[in-house]
Amino acid sequence: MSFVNVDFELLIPELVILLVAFAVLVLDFLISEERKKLLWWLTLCGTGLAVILTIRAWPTSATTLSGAFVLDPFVSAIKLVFLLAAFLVTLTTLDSRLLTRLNLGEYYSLLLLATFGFMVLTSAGDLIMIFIGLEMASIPCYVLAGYAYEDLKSNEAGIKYFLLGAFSSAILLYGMSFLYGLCGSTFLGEIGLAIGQSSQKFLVMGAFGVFLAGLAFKMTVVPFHMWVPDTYEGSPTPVAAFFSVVSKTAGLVVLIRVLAYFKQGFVALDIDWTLVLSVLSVLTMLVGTIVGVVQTNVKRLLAYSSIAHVGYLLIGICAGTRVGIESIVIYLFVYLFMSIGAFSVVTAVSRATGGEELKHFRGLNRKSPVLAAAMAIFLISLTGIPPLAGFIGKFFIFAVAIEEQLYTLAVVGVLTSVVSLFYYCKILKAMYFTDVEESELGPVSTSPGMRVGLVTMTFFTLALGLYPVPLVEIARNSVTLWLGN
Amino acid sequence: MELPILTLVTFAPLVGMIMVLLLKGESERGIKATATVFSGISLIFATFLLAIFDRTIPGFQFVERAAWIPPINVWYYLGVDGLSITMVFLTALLSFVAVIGSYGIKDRMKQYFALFLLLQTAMTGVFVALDFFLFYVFWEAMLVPMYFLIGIWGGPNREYAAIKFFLYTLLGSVAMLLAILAMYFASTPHTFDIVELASTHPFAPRFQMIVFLALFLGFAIKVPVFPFHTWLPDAHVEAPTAISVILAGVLLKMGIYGILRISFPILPDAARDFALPLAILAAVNIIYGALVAMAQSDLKKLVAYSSVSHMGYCLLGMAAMTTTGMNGAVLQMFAHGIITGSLFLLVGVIYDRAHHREIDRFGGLAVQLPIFTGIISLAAFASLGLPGLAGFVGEFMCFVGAFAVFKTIVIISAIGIVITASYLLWMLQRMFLGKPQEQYAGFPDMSARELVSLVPLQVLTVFIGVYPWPIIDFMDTTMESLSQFLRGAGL
Repeated sequence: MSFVNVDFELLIPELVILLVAFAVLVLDFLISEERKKLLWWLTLCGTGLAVILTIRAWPTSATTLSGAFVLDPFVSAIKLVFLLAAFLVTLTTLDSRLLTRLNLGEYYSLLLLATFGFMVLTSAGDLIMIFIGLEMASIPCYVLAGYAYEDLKSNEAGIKYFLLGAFSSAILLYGMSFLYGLCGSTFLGEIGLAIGQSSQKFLVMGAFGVFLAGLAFKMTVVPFHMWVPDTYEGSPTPVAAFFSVVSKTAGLVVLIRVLAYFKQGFVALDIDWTLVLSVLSVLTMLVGTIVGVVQTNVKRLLAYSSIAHVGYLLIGICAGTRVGIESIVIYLFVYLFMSIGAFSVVTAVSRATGGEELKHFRGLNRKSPVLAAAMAIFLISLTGIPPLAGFIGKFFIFAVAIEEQLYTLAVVGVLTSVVSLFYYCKILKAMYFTDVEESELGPVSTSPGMRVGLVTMTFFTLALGLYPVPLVEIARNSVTLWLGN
Repeated sequence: MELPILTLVTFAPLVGMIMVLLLKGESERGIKATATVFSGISLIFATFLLAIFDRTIPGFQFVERAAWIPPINVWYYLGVDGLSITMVFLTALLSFVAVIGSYGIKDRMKQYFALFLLLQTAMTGVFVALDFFLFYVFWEAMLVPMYFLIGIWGGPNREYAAIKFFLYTLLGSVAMLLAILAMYFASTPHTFDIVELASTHPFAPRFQMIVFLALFLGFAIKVPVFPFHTWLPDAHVEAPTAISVILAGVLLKMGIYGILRISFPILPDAARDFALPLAILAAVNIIYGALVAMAQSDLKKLVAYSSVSHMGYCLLGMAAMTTTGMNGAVLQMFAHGIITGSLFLLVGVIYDRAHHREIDRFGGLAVQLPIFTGIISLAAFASLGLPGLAGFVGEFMCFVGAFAVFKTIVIISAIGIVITASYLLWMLQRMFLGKPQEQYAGFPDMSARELVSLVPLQVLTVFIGVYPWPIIDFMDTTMESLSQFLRGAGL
């Protein structure tokens, strides 16, 4: 293996993000306090540029680093999700209650480094790359969770995330070591072939099972979800918004890719993971919704909602077809806008009212009808009610479930959607139905960045619901790697 | 190019919603005027539609079709036939009446009218959509404005009523969604086209049974069929007056409409198998609804339960699958819409004055409010099925149409008429006859605005009662072909 052959052209979006991350870090020391806003602009421009470069690289299908780094339209689509998430989160960061008094130079840098890690992870074609990507992403994430160092809850969130995250990384690595031991290679393609010829059926199952458990932590799949509510609740809200989309997506993508490579091998050994994944999916949907019902903190509530959404996403993997993966891509894009959107409104509201409990949302409709309407749109979309984008996401997921005759998953999916309505309605109720005293009516001010972010996300939540064709086309054209069908 | 009249009827209120939201400030007159104008435009086009509708064709007219989501074969596909045209007109009429009936709203009226206009678009859309996906979008889109309208502007128990309505109907809807998806994947080529599925009805009997039940859950909750009716009294009672009118007048019709439009034509074998259970449920609805209505002390609850009973007649006529029975069901839907709509408006009128609705606390109102008494008596008589008024014709046709098929059930159901007459007459007696009470002495009689919203409905009630043919004529051809199809296909 020689690094002379590295095709740097494929790595351009990653390199841009990395460069900007370091530039922000260095500039943070050099520029004066009052010009720190420059770093914000730099982060936005950097992620924006990377978005454009990723879109330009879309049709490319190639590998480099001897196959350890893969670029194809599917990977580009997922990277776009990460970059858009980073962009939108940066836009809304300045309104965060916990972050306002802190120096944000390192924050932007960490956010970009995490994004970089997730991008590498998405492109990973071998186990080492997966692990490196994952750690490069996770470590900045631990710091981000605890970034508001004066806030006890943020500290707790950081520590919890770190301990459990490190633990899960170790489990993942353990699984990987077994896979390597059994197959003699770290390249996913070679492992896939070796599995097919292996006589050690149970060892393969055990190795992959451990690997899956490690991934399940990252994906926040029940029963590996325990860290999620506490971490989301304690983290600064923009960080929670980032986690809600990005870390799950990363886990899912690794699972999709690994299953794609190993599929033939599993078939040869007569191993079927569909049942295991289905059980995980059902558990995740059920726990995410049922436990969400009793929450009174909006961030915790949204954390449980994000767990439930992973359950829906898993249905697409259970289907095991190309269409299933397409539906996941569609879902990820719509989920990106509505989830970060909902968290952003929480960011804005909590700065004005001093907290994220349901009571802090009381009477929001009177204080700021526009903010309340945006929140209503995001929540109704998360429930999956047409004509909003969330419906399109769920529609394609359930359609795939019906097509592949996964009736239990479809039924549990729609029923949990109904239950989830109940807890989203708790927020709607607080915003719209509860009247507050005149004295409590403080104005909710928002920064221009927040306003731009919310308008963008509301626009996409509406537009992708009314006219999803472009998104469907993107999904159709991006899924090329799936080996089945 | 032809005028896209159905799009205009459907989306005029949506344009109105955008206009209302764009209005500067909280100018009351501007908001009311905009809402009235755009709801009015919808009504004018709906009336125009009645005028140019060709009654001799059983199929769909004014069809509009455009690709919407080609990758999954979803179309923007609208059209009306004899079944839906009456419902479109009813929706437009009652919405317009309800807009006028909402002038009294003071709190957050901009949001109120915006949500109301959104609701109108969604309701109209349900009746004109011929693509399952589109149908589902409208069907669900209706829930959100309804939730807010009940939850923000409703009575004391509004939060509970709003969430209960939302959860109940969403539960039905998602069952329907699964059924729609199942039909999509079972058809070749995969299609959401309601008309195509109805003309080819390609499904095996067992599959039909399952899909029928899933769809039925969605429709039965809307009707509402016993035992899925428990959301209704809460929602109807807590909703503000104009929204109760819409709930009873339009939303309840969607269940029956859905069965007639989707379940019967697409799943004829299952429909025949389930005809008897449907008829039994109809009888339960009629008798149970009436008995519970009799036990109510709250006037609005009484009217709400009377709806449960009256929708039973529609179910019965429909289950019979005869032309007369189905004509009766549709006519009864229309008649119930205008009669119960007026009753809810009238409940609102008295509530605005007395601030309570306890039947027993009133008495002798006939002396103090003669015009009000006259109108509510007319509406109550129409509701109890007095010949010469709209309610009678629908009920009569339902019974006649069903008698040939379900003799015993019809005979049992007929008891419902007696109970209905007794609770309505008893209500009239307690509220309007007897000694006038002093506390109600100063009440003004009906205002001009109240009369404007009520009189057209009363005129229609009398007109249909005396000369129902013009309305029946609209649906007759369509219903006859459906009936022939259902009865013929089984032989």
